[in-house]
Amino acid sequence: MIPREFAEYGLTRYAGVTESGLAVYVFPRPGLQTKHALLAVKFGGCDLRFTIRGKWKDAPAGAAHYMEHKMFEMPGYHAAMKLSAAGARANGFTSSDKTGYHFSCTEGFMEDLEELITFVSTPYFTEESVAKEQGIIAQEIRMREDQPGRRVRTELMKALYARHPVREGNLGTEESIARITPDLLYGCHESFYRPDNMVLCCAGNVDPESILSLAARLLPEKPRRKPPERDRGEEADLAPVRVRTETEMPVSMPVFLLGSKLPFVPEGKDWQRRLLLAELSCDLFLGEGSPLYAALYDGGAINRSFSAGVTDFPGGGVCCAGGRCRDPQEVLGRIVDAAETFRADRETVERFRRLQKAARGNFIMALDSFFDLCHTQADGHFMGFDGMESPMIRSGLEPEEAEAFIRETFRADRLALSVVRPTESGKG
Amino acid sequence: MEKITQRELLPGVRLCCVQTDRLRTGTFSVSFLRRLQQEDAAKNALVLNVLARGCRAWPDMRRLKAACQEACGAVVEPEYRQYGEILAAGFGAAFPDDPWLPAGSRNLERVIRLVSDLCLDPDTRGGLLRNDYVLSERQNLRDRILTAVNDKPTYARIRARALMCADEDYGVYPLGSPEEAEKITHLILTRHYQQMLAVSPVRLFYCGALPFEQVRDTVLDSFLTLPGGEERRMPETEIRDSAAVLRSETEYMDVEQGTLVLGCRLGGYVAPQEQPVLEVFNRYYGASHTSRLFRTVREQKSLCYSISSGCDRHKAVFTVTAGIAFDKRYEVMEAVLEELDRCRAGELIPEDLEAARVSAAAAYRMTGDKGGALDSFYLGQELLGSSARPEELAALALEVSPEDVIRMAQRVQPELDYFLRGPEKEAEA
Repeated sequence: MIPREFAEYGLTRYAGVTESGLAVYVFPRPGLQTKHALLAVKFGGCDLRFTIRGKWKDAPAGAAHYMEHKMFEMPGYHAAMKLSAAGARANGFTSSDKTGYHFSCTEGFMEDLEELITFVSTPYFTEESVAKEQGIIAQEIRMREDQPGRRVRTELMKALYARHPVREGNLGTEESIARITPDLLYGCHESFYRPDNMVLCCAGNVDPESILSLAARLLPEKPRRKPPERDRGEEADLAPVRVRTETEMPVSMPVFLLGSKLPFVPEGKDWQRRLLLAELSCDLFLGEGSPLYAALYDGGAINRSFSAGVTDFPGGGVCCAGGRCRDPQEVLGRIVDAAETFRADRETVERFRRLQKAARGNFIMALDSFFDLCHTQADGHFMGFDGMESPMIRSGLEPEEAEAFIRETFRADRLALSVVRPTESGKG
Repeated sequence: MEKITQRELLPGVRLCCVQTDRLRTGTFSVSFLRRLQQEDAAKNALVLNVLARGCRAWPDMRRLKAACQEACGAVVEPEYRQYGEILAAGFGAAFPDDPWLPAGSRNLERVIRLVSDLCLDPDTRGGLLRNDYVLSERQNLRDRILTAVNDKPTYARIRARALMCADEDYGVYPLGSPEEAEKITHLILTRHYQQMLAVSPVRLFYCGALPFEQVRDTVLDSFLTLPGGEERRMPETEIRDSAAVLRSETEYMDVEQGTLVLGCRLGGYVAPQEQPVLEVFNRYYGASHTSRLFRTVREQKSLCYSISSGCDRHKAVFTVTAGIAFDKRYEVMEAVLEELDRCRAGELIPEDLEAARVSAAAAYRMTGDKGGALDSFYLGQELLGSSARPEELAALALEVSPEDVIRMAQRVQPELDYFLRGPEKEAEA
């Protein structure tokens, strides 16, 4: 394992790769009781068209998430239960670009890690168990459908994109998951769950060399086939498909999310820089310390539920802002007006520098969250950048770049607005 | 190894200090302990939101945010934490700890000063809290109370609690009601604020690298203007026995999924030494992947995606919550009660019980790795009358016997079966 020291954070990261191609990163943190491991696979909700054994395949929406549920099932036992029995807290997640399996524990880390790598590399899907899972996932889908925050985001993506798979959502629908079969899951496992398409990240009072040795022993085989190709439907057009979308739910007041597509930049350091600029610009323009936020808040147009940020996914990203308010269209109008006249004047430049300082502090605090630390490392690995370099890159950004970004991104012809309005039964 | 020091700095004002060099994040909080009650709930919530709008030194949100950014991105927010019928209302702060910043940063001092200014030195007009801030935050609070309906499982738990504890303060929504919020004027709120400062027990918490003495001196210096003279009486939680019968309630909303809540009581006070037993029982019965409810209701019967149990040891209340299809209510409830009966009858599965023990022990140990979790932990321990540390409770959890778990299960008395569901017609279709 090759160490790299980040002296200003009192942190060393060890990096290595097994013969089979699995990338391993370890952040030793002696003194803390919690130990954490994340094994992530570059296969997520946006992977709906890809090659299996060289042939193009269209998968139903929700396939990666379905797979995540089923991976815990092993011949004769359930891996999450086994880890839980050992005192570990285990779980999985599916995002647009990856599936992650992780656990936290205080004792027996190496045994738990062995179980994690073993179950993620063991496909076991029967007709019966796959059919049984449909009921459980259908309940998860219904649960999400009752969440206005989810609904408003899903509808925004549909308003912004014509073809991109982010439109479909990571869980799919009850209809789409009904088409998932054991054969499809075996095919996905063979294509994506291969060492050179995965990354292992660990943090805590753990030994890097032992972790690399264990991973090498459990995943010895180098994949024989080429990695799968993917079609994620990249789109060049920055204009939304629809400028406004509305649904109704039992909520007390309108919930809204507005968004603007980020121009496509290939994975790598350029994408990292673009994301950091987008995040900082959102904070500068719409964050709590901005004049626009103050004007909207003081005038009662928004409340503390309002926030702005960036969501990214394979082949794209969206600058979003939203929350609960009485008149989402008014908020959108005020944002568009403010973007038109936005200037990097002296006060803005001072604020920009303060935000850079604060972002460095937030980065330091995030080092105490092992989940975030491992997650950021895995993200960077898959996207071709190093998350630990983010503070340095962020400190090199200039206010004039943010000005140009804000004026361009929050233009009326770039924005879509998604609103969930109250049904009669939801009104307070 | 961390060093824990707890001292009374002034009558009714205590500081708990966890000195550790293992974390990058420092934590500081101040809490005013109030009894949760209908007439005060909205005032408690509103006063914090008004104070959070600005103080004399930083009179608006922009300047306040700038001060936080200057403190290297410190996050300072109003905090409401509930322990039974006791509300800990105040401000919590997380910030990069001094050893990880350039020499001479004195970030903790900045943050303590900021929090004390917010609490003790508001931007007033004629000695009263600003009317424009009160009116604006009153509207926001009203909206926020009504927003509870947006999160269906949480809303179902709120409703179940209100119905089960209809004539107890525990049934009061911690943010109060829209009607109560509407009645609050800046004059009423100023009086409430002054009374809160004068008579509420105050709890200060710090977790970070600096020694107790340094933190104490900074705190004393910053909180010097805290009014004295009146007794700060500790509020208490009323604990009731269970009702004799299990009653059923159904409410309707336009939802895709139903939420079932089973509300139970533990038939009396949970003694400090019983905490690990309750924790192990909870994990064995419904709060882990190896729990009886997860294994049977979700994995064997595929009746739901989410099902879990939880307990409030301060009020001695135990709940089960499940997200289910509308037509599965009785099937799920039967399975939930059947598993409880098995525990009461001593039909325990030794491997799962051992899993519950080690999982509870690990959870206690992990508490020590997070400043915010330690803050809640030590305040909770004090309110229970315990001085136990997380590692001590972890050791006790490993010693919990099957008989302990059976006794705890026998204390669980179901009292309310509540179901939030979609309209009748949709369920029948």
